[in-house]
Amino acid sequence: MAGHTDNQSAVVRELARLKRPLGMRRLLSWVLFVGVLGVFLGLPGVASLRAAWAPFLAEPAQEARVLAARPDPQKPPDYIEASTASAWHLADQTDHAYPPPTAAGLDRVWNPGPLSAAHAPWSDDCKICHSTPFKRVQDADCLGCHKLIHAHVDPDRIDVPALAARCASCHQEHRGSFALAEQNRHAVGSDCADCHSEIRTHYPETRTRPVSDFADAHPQFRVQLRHDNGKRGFQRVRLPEKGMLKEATTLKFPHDVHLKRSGVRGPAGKQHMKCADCHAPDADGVSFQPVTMAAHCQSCHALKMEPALSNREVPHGPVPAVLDTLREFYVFVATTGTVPREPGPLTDTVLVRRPGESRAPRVFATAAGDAHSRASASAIELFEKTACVVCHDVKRLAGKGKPDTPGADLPQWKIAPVPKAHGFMPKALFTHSAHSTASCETCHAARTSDHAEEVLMPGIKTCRDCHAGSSPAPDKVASDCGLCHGFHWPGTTVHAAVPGSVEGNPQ
Amino acid sequence: MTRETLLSAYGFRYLKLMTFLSTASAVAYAWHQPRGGANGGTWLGYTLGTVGALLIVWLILLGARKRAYRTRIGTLRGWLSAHVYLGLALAIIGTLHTGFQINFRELNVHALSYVLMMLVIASGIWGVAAYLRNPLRMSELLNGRNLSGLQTGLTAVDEDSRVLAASLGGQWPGLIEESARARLFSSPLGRLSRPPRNCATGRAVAALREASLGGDAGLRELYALQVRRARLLAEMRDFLHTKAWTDLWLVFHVPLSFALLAALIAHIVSVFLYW
Repeated sequence: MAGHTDNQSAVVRELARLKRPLGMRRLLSWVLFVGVLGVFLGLPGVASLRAAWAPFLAEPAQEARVLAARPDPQKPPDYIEASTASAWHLADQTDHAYPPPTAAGLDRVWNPGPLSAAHAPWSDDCKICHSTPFKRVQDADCLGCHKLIHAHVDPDRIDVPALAARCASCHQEHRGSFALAEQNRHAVGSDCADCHSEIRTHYPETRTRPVSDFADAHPQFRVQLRHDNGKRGFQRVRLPEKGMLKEATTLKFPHDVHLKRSGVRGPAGKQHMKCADCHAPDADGVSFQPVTMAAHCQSCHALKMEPALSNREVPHGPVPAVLDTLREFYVFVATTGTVPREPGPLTDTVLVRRPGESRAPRVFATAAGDAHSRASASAIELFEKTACVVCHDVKRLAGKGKPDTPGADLPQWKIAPVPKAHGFMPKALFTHSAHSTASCETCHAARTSDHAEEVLMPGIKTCRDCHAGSSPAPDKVASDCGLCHGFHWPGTTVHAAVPGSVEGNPQ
Repeated sequence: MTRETLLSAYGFRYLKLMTFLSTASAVAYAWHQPRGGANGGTWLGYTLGTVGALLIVWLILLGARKRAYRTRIGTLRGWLSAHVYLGLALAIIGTLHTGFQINFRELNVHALSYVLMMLVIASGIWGVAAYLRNPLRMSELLNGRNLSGLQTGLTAVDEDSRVLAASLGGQWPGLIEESARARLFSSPLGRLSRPPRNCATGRAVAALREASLGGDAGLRELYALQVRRARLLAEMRDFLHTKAWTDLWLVFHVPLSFALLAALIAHIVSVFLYW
């Protein structure tokens, strides 16, 4: 009978047990609720706001590491000279104070996404940017480090309420390693267009024309040219819809002659020149290295002074240096009665045969007269007929040269200074290296340009062949304002090296 | 006639509500093109987040409504139907709130909240599937009886078997006693897996089947009793197995809901603390 009751109670007990709900839902719920709230809000909250309440959270080594990584607000960045820095300050940040770092970096669990590469070192120091609890990231938090950032327009001159936006309303962090760089390049067109489509209502005195999209609502480019009325400095001139802008220069350089498809006569016969023969990309791929007489011109445009010596040249330098060389050379010829030996291997003579002349050019070294008249004849030939005058504006001057120099008694000349090359679009974010898949001729009409005055900058139509506006178009690059324009501009600056730049001038 | 379920309750009223909420959110999401792409911090992001947070709180309140028998705020059936559909809408609203920008690479409260929310919704979908399929099967199994009835039947079979086995003598009383002690499942968790194949009752049935071929009327009767016991056991096991699987989702759904509530609070507070 005992077995009977046992059996019955066993089944009853098992059934009673099995009828109860599965699992420990209430306990599990409490454990998870308290656990999640504690780890993700309680501990980080105390560590961030009141670390003193929970000294067990403190981790001195971690705190020391965080503090060491913070930049010194008293000090401008090393890479900028203090004098420049002070002029560029948007706001005086010298009294910027950082809040104490969160204990043990426990607030890292609040990080919604990876910081940009530049900010990544402060990934465990949230409060370096989030300085004030329950307040959005302040501009002061950004400017504590970014001391040298420029305003869009000078806030002392122009008051544009629309520009009062917080830094973080454009620069959105926690979007991944390269997100900030991407955002900076691709500022969304509509944000710029909010003001720039009707810019005169925001700033009536502006000379900037309205713009809303590159595809169909962008004015023709303005290029930076030297003032043509003798003033120093630059002006910005809008490219004409037809024809070419000209910028005065004293250099004679027809691109078309050099780029002729049939070739151009050189020391080794016909040469077919390419743009790259003279224009070598600079190191950063933005522009080109300067064109120099020695590297790019002199192999054809030799400065040969004496046909008897086929490769003796005068220096490409100041006029007195040329005259001194000539005077000394012919004095040597006259006093020794000999022509110096060839200093190097023979090359073709540069003196051109003139119409009517059937024989080889004259030779000054053995011509009639003394050293002075031989040097004079050679100088006149060089300056006015065969060498200098080919590229430069050459003027004969009356009177003597620099006293106590060998060339003082020779005729004198003035070579007009060649203006230095400069950037044409210093405000555009343009690099030639990014456009290297296109040929030079795609944008620059050099092959048909017969004067050095011609500004070979392409107009907006050329860019639009490949660049669409904000909205994508077939076979075109969708192009927001930020692709070519910056926002924080320090003002017009002149880039040093640009295409077509010619090294110095021989004066 | 189609059976009305919690999905079709009130003429699909809450399906319509879900469709409206999801469509409105999706249309707003597609129309809204903020700078730098959609994310939780735009005005639409905050709006969707607020709607989502309110939905989560209301969905969790079902637990309270279920226990509030006296309340007159809607019927429990209506609440359940709305709970299912608004829970599904939450998956869409919550996902749009993220702007598809979730950092799963590092442990953070925001991704955690999203993962918990989706797990709760997934376990809820499991629960709906279980509730739609299993109760019908369970009532078919019981066929008008209940567990206590089955248990009484089992006790009766055991009593009769004991008396009969005692009269037969030999190995039978021992075998029957073992059969009577046969458990439904080896452990409480055992009911989630298939029932044991070779239990004591099964062995008794096998032994009796061979012996009863001899034609002894007592053995045949004992055989019939044990077959009946085996069938009762199988029915109870099948019922309890199905019931366990029908209830199992709640083991995940409820605790994860509270984890989600905690993560949601941490998410909201931390977002504004480090705004």
